[in-house]
Amino acid sequence: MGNQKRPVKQAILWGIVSLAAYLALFLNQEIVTNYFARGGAFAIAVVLTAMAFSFIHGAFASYLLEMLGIRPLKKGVH
Amino acid sequence: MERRKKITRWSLVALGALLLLSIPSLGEAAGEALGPGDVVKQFVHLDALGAIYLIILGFLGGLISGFIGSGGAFVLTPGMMSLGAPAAIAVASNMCHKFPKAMVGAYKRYKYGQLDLKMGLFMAISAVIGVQLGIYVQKFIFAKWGSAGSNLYVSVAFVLILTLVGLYMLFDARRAVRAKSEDTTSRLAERMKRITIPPIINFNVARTRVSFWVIVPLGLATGMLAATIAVGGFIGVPGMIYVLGVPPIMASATELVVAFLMGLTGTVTWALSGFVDIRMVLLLLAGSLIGVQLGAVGTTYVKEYMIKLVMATIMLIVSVSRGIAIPTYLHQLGIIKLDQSTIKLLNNTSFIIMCLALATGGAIVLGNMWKRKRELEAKDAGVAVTLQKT
Repeated sequence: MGNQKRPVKQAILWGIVSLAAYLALFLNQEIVTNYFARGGAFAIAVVLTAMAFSFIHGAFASYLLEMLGIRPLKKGVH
Repeated sequence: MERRKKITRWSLVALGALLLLSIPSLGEAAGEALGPGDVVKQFVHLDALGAIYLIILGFLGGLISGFIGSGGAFVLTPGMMSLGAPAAIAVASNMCHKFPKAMVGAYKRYKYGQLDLKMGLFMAISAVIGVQLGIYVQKFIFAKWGSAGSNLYVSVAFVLILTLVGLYMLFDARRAVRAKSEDTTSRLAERMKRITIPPIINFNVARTRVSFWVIVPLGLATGMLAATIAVGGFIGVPGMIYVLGVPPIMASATELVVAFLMGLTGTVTWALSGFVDIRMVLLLLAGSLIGVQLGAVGTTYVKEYMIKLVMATIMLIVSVSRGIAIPTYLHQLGIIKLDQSTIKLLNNTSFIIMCLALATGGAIVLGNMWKRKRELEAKDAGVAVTLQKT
């Protein structure tokens, strides 16, 4: 378990990308919220934003856990 | 073989067509009936403390979801409302947070070989249709007894179902602990396998074959309850375990597919009217995407019955919390009389107990992971010492 390589670089890289994405959205929160509140075609933007963050932040979370040594023990059901 | 594939394909197509008919009012699957006064489009001001609160709430909800396949919604919606968000915004944002979280969780657990995608699709599509049936029941009650009557119905259904299923699962998990086995087997599932009304669907990953007429009603019931009590997973997972005979680890993983599809269709409906507060969604995701992956890893550390134990514990605590809210609805219906301070106290106690349910579940998951990790490290150290001696 402990011998596996820890993805420190990837965790930092995706951490920066994720932080940048969060900052970009929250620094422009009024504009984003106003557009998304219009509904209609903006529903696609809502779904795509949620998907994009789940990919970016999800990748960061995955590398972060691996970096901390939290990995699955076994594959498949017992 | 070719015939079986054809049957599966056509069964899914039929369900898919029904699904499309169900989408228009899917967003109403709020769990609590929203009166016209609740559907307010107003976005709250979020300060640093509120943001941290949402991240922590998201992490705990994600951890539980990754481990038992559902949960979190019961506390996330009231959690957002406690920050001042109107009910419709909280419900819509919870839906939008649910599908990316479930997608990441499902992907992880698919990689661990725990997810039966085909079963997930059958359950998910029929659950989405079931939501529609649930909404009809809700609307009927809403029209007849109003918002308080509807909330009372939801709470009574919630307490009854969660207490009964929770107690059963708890005793069942205890049986496995006493027998020192990985898990118990379900006699009901054995009987269900004897139902051979065609079409019979083969589920290769779950290593079972079930009649279409068994799995679809189960999915419908899950959806109906999701529309009623907002926690369809608390029926979907036990249903897959006890009715279909699927191991708890696989049932909880497969439930994530149901959560994904219901979350996605619900999001589209709410987002079309512009009710999703993307800031709250992303703050919840900041915590939950870490939590859901941690919970998924956690399933590989524990024995099968632990899923049942965690689920039962959360269900029982949450049902107590919901039970505490019942006098408020009885007051609104004029059946009993309570003063405002008592109502406030009951509501706050109910919310705190819900948070406690989430925290208890999280503590059990993390505690067991930590314990198992220590055991393995001790074992590794023992092996190293023995090797050195020889």
